[in-house]
Amino acid sequence: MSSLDYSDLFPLWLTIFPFRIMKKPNLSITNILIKLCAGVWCAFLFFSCSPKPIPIYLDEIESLPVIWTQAIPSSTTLLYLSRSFSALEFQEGDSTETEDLLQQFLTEDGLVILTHNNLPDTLFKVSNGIWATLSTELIPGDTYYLYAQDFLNGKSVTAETQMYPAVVLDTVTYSIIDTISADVTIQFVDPPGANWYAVHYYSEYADPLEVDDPFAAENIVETKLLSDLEFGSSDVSFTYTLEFLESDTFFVSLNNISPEYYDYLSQRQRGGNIYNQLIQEPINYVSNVQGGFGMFALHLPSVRQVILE
Amino acid sequence: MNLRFTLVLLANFFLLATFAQTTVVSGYIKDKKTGEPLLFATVHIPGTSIGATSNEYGFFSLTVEHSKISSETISLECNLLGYPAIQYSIPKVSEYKLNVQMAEEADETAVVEIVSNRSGLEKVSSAQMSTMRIPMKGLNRIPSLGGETDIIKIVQLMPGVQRGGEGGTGMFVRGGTADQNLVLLDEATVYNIGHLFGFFSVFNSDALHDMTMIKGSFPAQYGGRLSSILDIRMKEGNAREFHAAGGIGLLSSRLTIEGPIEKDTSSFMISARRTYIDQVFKAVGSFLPYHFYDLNLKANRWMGPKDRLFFSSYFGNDILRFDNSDVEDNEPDTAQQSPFGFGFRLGNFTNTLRWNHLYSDKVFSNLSLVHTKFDYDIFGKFDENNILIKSDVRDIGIKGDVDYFKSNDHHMKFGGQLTQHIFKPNVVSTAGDISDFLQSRNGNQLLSTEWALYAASEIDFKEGLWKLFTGLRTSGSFVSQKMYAGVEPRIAARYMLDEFSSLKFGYSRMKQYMHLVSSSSVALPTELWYPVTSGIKPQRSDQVVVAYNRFFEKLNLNLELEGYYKWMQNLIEYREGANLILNDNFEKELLQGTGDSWGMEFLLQRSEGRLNGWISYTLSWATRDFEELNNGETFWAKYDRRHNISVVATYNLSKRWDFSAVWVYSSGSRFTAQAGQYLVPNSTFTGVDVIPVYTARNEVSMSSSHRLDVNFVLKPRPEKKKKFKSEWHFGCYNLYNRASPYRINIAANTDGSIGYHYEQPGLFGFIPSVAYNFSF
Repeated sequence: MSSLDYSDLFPLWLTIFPFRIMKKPNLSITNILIKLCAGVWCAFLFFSCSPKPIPIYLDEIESLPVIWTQAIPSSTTLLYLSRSFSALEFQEGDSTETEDLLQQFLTEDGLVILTHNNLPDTLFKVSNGIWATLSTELIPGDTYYLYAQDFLNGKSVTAETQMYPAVVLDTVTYSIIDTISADVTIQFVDPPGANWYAVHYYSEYADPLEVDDPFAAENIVETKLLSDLEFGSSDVSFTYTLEFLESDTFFVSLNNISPEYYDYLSQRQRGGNIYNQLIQEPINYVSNVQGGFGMFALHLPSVRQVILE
Repeated sequence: MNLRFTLVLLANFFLLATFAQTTVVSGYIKDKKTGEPLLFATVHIPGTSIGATSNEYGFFSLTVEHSKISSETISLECNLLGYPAIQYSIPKVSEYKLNVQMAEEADETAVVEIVSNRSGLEKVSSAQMSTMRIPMKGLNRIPSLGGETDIIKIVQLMPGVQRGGEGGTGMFVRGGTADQNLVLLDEATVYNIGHLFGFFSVFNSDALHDMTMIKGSFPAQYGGRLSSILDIRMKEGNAREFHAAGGIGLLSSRLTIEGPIEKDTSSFMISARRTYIDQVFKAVGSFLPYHFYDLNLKANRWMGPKDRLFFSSYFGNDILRFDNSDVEDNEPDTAQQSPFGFGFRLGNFTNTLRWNHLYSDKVFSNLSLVHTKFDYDIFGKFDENNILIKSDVRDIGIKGDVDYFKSNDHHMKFGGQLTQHIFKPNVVSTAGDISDFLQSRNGNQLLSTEWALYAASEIDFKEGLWKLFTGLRTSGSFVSQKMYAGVEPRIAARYMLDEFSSLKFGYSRMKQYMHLVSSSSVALPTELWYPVTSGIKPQRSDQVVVAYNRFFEKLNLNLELEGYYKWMQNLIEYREGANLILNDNFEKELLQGTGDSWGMEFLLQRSEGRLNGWISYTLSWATRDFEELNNGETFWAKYDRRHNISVVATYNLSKRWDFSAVWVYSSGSRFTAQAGQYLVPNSTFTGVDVIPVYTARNEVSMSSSHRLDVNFVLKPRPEKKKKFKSEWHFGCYNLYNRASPYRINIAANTDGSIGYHYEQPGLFGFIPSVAYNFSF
């Protein structure tokens, strides 16, 4: 039971009462009485206090491996391996340099094996946290298995995914609305079966390999998610209004992604809604990684550049 | 042969019925001073088990068999808590009209009257359980937030009722959700019970007569929600004298006027309340453009000895209007510069027209026409852009109930109701550039017709040793070409262990055909009510209750012990991250699952005397199962709190001073806390996302909360017999300034070390209050 400690008390109500009773010179008796009553009211609330927050101890979650994959045309597959960390180690907006933070949790020493058709391929380390292979061919429709181990804590993870065939962007057309917006229409053929798509719109200077400030992704315009359950036919035409174009050139990339990755991206979009963050139940993001976090997804983008005229 | 036997039996039955010598005593029980009917008062023959209870309109009917009375006349005694017993002696005639006038006790220090169902022995002998009846008299003695007496906050102090956020009017009854409580004000549904984001209820205590809350073993006449029924009745108005009462508090003031329109024939009551936070801010040169107000009105008239008409209405609004016109007085410069405007208005409007009719000394009926509306408007503007969002739900309904007092041992009740719900959510009107993104639209109006028929019977047998209550309710809803219907059986039994104690058992099924579209525990103006549809099935609950009641006569103490188990089907939750604002297709965001709750409740109360009050304790569990949430694993309900204790005491210190205190303790409510995080490339590999990792849904139990509130009342000198009476209330909320955690934050260390820690903030600390009440 906390005792009443006035030195710590914060006059909750007082902060919203800028006293300016004496500001106006010609006050009538009625006005003075009204303001006196209001002053008494405020004085009462002056003694109101906000209570001191109660500390609570929560068990820290175990640090587990986190994986992420990126398939690059020309049979290169990158795998990012890092560790999860406590919620108390970092909060967005604190002074920790993001580069330092990244370095702190990237795996320095580990083992990553990609298996396809029962042929294991041990990935080579590119730098801390990044492993790569040039030898495993990514064949649409085939299943791939991943094993990764972080030698620092001995924890390992497994994951399984299917390589999704790249769907080619047939055409990208646009219709300028005004100086800052344009309707952009993409057309492609939806292959048979259930498919899920992520369409990324980049501004001119987006460079996938340039990560100067990993938290600043301002050069991305938008990501839209599509499911072919919403399409009427296999010939798909999708129009989206791009706002606030910063240059006259942009890129559109179409990615045929796995349903797990689609769910993850959907959750990211929902979780990024400020309203949802404030008042709704938080989201635990989906993962297809056994024993850890992250997403093992293999897909190749179809990219088109558009120059507005 | 069988037919002949049956005919003989029937003939004998009618002969017996015809020649049995009985007196049917019937009439109304009223308050002598005000003429208002007294509910649930008892009329009985002393020394026997022969008795009856007045219904919700004060009517009673008692059949006395002459063979059971040896004396020449029939002695009757009327009892009601807070009123001295009255005795009558009536002749042995076939019919006798008795209108009982009960005068309140002279001792006005007998204050808080909280009775669970009925007082004293009546509570023990009733088959009804899980029921609380709360008369308004004396409630303003109980300390409250800001000195504002609030019936909902009183209910939150009773066993089985969990409060939501601190200071809020949210109620979570026996593991249910906030929208599973049916709140009726003179039979009209009140959809939004909170003012000021739910910190105060819409019920002005001066305008209310009493409230009955049922949380299990529901009588058949009630339905439509899974967890509780709050049946609130307004005052009818003094039929004999004009009176006024009011109060001035820190947050609001109120005034009630009541009196006869025609003495003993018709009366009225009008009560108004308004908060003046905005005016106080204005007076000190500041600006808070928010206020709420409400208005209660009731009138009634006897149309003859057998007919009575009532009309009651409630109207209330919350208004926030932040725009240039309001700023101009104080900040003309700002007014010219500010292009921004925002505001909302939300409110309830209810109307009830009732007709009581007495068909005979044994048959009483009520017919009600009900209209209710809850709507809100939200507006915003920025430069030339304007947006207005409107939503509303309206009900028009008819309801009929018939009481048939077949004999003292057998009371039947039957009736039905038909309600047309009209839902009109998300009507949007936009102007300016914003129209390109958000186009004006009329929303999807939806009609739903909800109906119910019921019959119930209450039978005493084995000389009053057993009482059996059986009921059957059929209900349904027709919406979007889809008809849902279901049967809701109700059964309860009571067995008298001895004169002062009883055992009870009850089972009830409830169905709910509408729900609140909200995934937040915060009361927001954007919340919508919506009916079941072809894709959303009605919610259903089955609940069993066992109870033990004992009355300690010498101490004037009532003890209630109850245990319950509730199974809930088709409960509603929303997908993680669901966006419900302006979403006409929110059905896609909705999930249905199951839930269980179980627990034990304890209530010890003393309703009369210099020291009175109650101690309540609840031990409870509540879980949820949704396939799409928490990885399909069972999780705790948001307001699953293991232990809840309330101690409420009022003590008459002297002739001029009363003291009261409330101490509440609750185990912490549930929270989904951020436990970890990780870094991954964003979807376009142009940056890094920090992905939070949370505990399982509602896995963390926050710290327990407890607080002490006190109140002193200074009354006028008793020797002064002035008509104008006034009293001062001095109180404080959360005397020892303890935080009641409502969430878990991650905050930077304040002890000089680098890093973060978890902390649980509270909302309200120590808050003093003063209020001045008067009556004349």
